[in-house]
Amino acid sequence: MLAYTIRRLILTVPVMLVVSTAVFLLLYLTPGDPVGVILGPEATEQQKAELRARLGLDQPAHVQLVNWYLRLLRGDLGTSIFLNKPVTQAFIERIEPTVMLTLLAMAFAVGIGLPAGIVAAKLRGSWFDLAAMLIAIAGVSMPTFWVGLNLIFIFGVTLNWLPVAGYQPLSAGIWENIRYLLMPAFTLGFAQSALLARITRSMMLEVLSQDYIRTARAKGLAELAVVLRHALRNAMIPVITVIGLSFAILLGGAVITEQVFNIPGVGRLLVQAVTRRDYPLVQGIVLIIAAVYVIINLVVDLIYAYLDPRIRHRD
Amino acid sequence: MTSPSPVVVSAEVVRPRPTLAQRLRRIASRYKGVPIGGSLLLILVIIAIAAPIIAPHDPQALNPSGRLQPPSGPYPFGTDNFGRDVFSRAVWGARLSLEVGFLVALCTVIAGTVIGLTAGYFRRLDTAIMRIMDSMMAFPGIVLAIGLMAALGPSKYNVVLALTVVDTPRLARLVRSVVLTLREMQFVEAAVALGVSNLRIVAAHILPNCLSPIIVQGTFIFASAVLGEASLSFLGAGTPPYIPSWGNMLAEARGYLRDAPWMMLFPGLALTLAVLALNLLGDGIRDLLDPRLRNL
Amino acid sequence: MSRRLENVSRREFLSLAGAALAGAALAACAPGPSAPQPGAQQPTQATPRRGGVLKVAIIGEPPALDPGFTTATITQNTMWHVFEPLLTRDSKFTPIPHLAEKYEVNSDGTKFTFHLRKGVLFHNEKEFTAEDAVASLKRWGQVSGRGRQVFARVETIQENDRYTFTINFKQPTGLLPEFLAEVEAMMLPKEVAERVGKDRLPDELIIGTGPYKLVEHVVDRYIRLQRFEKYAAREEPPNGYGGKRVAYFDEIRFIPVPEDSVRADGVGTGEYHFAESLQPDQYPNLQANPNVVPLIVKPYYQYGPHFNKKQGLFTDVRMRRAVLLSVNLEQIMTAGFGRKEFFRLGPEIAAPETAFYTDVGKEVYNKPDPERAKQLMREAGYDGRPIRWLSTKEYFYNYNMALSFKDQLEKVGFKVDLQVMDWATLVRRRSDPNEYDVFITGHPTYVHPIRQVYLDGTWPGWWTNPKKDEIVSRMMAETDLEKQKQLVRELQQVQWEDVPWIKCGEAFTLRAIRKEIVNYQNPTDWFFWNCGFAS
Repeated sequence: MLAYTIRRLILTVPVMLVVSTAVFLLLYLTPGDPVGVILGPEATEQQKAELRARLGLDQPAHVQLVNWYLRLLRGDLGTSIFLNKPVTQAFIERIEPTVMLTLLAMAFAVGIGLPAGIVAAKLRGSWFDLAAMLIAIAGVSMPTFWVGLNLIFIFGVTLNWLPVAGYQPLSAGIWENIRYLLMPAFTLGFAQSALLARITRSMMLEVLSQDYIRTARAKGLAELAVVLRHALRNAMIPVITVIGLSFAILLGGAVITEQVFNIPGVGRLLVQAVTRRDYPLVQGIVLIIAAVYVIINLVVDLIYAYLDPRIRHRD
Repeated sequence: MTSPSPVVVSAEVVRPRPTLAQRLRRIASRYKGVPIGGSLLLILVIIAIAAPIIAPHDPQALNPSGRLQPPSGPYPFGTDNFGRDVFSRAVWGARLSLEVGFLVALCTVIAGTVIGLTAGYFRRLDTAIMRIMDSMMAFPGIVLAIGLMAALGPSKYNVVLALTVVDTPRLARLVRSVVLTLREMQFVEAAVALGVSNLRIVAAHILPNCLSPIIVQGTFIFASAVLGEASLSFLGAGTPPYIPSWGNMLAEARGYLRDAPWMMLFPGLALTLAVLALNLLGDGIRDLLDPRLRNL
Repeated sequence: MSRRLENVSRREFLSLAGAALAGAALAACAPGPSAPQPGAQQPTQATPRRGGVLKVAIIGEPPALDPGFTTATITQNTMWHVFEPLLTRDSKFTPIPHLAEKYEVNSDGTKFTFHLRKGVLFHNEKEFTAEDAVASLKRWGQVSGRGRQVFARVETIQENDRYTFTINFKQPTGLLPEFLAEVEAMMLPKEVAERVGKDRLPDELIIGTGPYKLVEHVVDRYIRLQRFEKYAAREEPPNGYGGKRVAYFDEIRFIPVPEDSVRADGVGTGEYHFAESLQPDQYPNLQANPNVVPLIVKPYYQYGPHFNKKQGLFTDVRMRRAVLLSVNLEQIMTAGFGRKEFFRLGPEIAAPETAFYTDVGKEVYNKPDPERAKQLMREAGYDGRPIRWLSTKEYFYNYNMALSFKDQLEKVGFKVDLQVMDWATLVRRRSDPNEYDVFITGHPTYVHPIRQVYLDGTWPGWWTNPKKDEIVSRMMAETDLEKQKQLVRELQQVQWEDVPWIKCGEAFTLRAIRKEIVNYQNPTDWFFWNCGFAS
């Protein structure tokens, strides 16, 4: 297992190298002018040329690429052109909203998806099962931003119960924080809860038909105990893996949700950095997100390998 | 057995009178969503093809004096902030969404299959190819798509290209894993021993066995591409905004939630319906073709 | 009532109860086309209480907090609570002394002597003196485009004593005060000005003399300003942007909210006290809200398409005229701004509320004649090549107007390739003559016409015209107002003959303020001194 882990860790190095090069080249090919955005609409060409030179944007691609690698080796992600501060610092300043949003969305996804899946499996064929599975497939099919717009329309604009957009940091109080995140987190978590419900249900069905469950029942255990202690525990292993993966999916989904709800998180920072052509910032954020993705994938793979020794030896 | 649930042990117990829910459920599980999803999709395809006939107005014609009108006879879905007919735009949007979705699914299936087969069958190329695929999967899909669109510029075919790039690694991985299992099977080993050419083995033995997961996955990619196009256009990184697309319409509606909720409602419903149809179809096909994949 | 600020239209005056005192200013206004509007609301005028936190929703994160470094309006507007220039503008947009006590100019406009106010403190509590002023202006002469334009003419700049300094020019530069009244020519402590040079000011060096000082800046979340307790205000009553400035709020918080519907909804629910740059379509909602006063701001900006005159289809003036003859400008403005209350038509490059208004060019302005247009297109040999038209959705009017142009031009026989991109791409591409034929942008109508950026032949669009250049250089030297006005008439004439761009109309911007904020004056460029919470 240790050898496998080390092998997998080493394999992430070329992946990150390809990722960072790809991001660099992609941005290099993207038209647009960070300098024009910063200096405003009435700047002269001379001013722009000077700033470009000072930021090193006038150098040939390979020089910029080499500089980028050299800085990376020192653990330096560079300085944001627009924000005029280190990329790492800009990232850290924006991490709280994204983490809070993702955690709360995860809570929605698990809080709705798991019980719905278990009950649906337990009551297979009932109205509840039918309704839950219909809602689940509709939930998977609804675009998150449309769900968000509907929530804003109903709870924000029409009923005036929740703020239409924005964010209050944790320092403003936990309730303030949650009040602003309620709609976005539900928006983001809903589709994942649908997915989780479907998987939990099918896993539970499979487990409930296993021999040891019948044995447990035959032993006269209470049905609740059978479901919770025996069935659920065995169905949970793949479900937990799926939860791990949905965490990664939620991080990506946060990009759109933050955009819809005007939440100043990492996703929004990224979209803004793209429109401002803040090259170092885009590179830095994408690299960090990619690293998180790679790590999550790695952990998931390791769990699989742990559960299924065949993988360890085949790969 | 304190309270044995008759439902759970239903396989053995014969119940005289299934409830309506059970009957519906059974119908749904027998036909596996194919007819529902299929017919929904068929209707949408007909609407898309017949868009020029169905749409009562030019979807791009401006009407400055008829802005933001609520749904009424001549404008069943109302008008938008330029006075354009929301119904006509939604109808034309179906054409665009399905076209983009289909093209992405097609391109992804072709590219993903070729890459997956190559990686899975020719083991020397495997590591290199799969590391590149891994790298592409290290980006959240939407982030990669936004980046590609920024570089490529807004157009329908660039959306197809960007989404294909995003979806291909997933399919390639799937195909590769199927190929890896097939390679070890006796009929392939026998063919290799007999000196059958690689191309022939792939074409005659491997590819046909990959088809069902590819078709299932292709349907889901179709669905996710329809969503992807809408998301990109919603973020302003998809098709040019004057093109009638559901994502563009929703982007425009964002500013008019209070004054013209119909601008948001109809394109969103259409989009949900289209994706739902494809998901039902995908679920159904999966259950029909390969019950083993049900839990994937 | 003398607190009533600039850009007072006749309508707003008539709706004021105490119009008597406003008489003098009314006389200064050219008769505007705006009709009296029933029920137009005004913020309450009363003495505010001291205290409270004002939350302002702004259109986005300023690209820098240094008005010298960037020309972005949002930077100027937020930061002039912190930074102050030597001069500012009165209710008619005329330069008046601010940090300067007074200035003298010789008859040919080659020598300016500035006398500074005594006892003005920087936020670091150091006194503002002539050496700071000289260093600040030198920095401005390096970092800003307009500063460089002025400093190219400067022969010497030196301090005479602690509170006076002199600028000598190589050429007559009578227009200097117009430039010094901008925030970008702000006063910094000497050490800061010299240390920062051409770079942008980092947050820790944001040290001005204004009624508010910067205390915290979290990018994309907020910019927090706090009252500067030792602020040295002028004695005169408020006049335009000038006169006495009183900081009633303890704190002002500028919150970037890029989505305009969110800004409008936020001010409606009390999340923000003030929101700028709202969609005209929000107007009825805001009017219906009893807690909010919608504000229509005029004069504001003029908008229209600029042609690439260096390369391609529109190097031929006949093609540019053909576009002008092809379109109904009222339709364009309706598409761009939606509601009639939000724009006015006319050929003027300076608003009726300014001293430089003239209707020269009205015989060609908005006189569509498709037959004549087609004839010009034939004469110019237009072969149906698509017009590459750059536009962006980041500014709603831009895309909306372009869409209406496309609609109308194609009916006359032009082909339009409407390319929609983000602003960053647009600013890059409009600088490259190979890349496009037309782009739309806006220019203020309340500034001296010489400040119009398109007069500079190196600015995108590249308007080179000897007659224009000659008028501009005479303007730069002129100290006499009447002669200035004559030059503006000539300039406007050239503009409508040569059609470097088409001024489609002037649009007003919509803002909204909560009822609990009193004494707000609705100036063209917003500011929050002299207003506060109701007591």
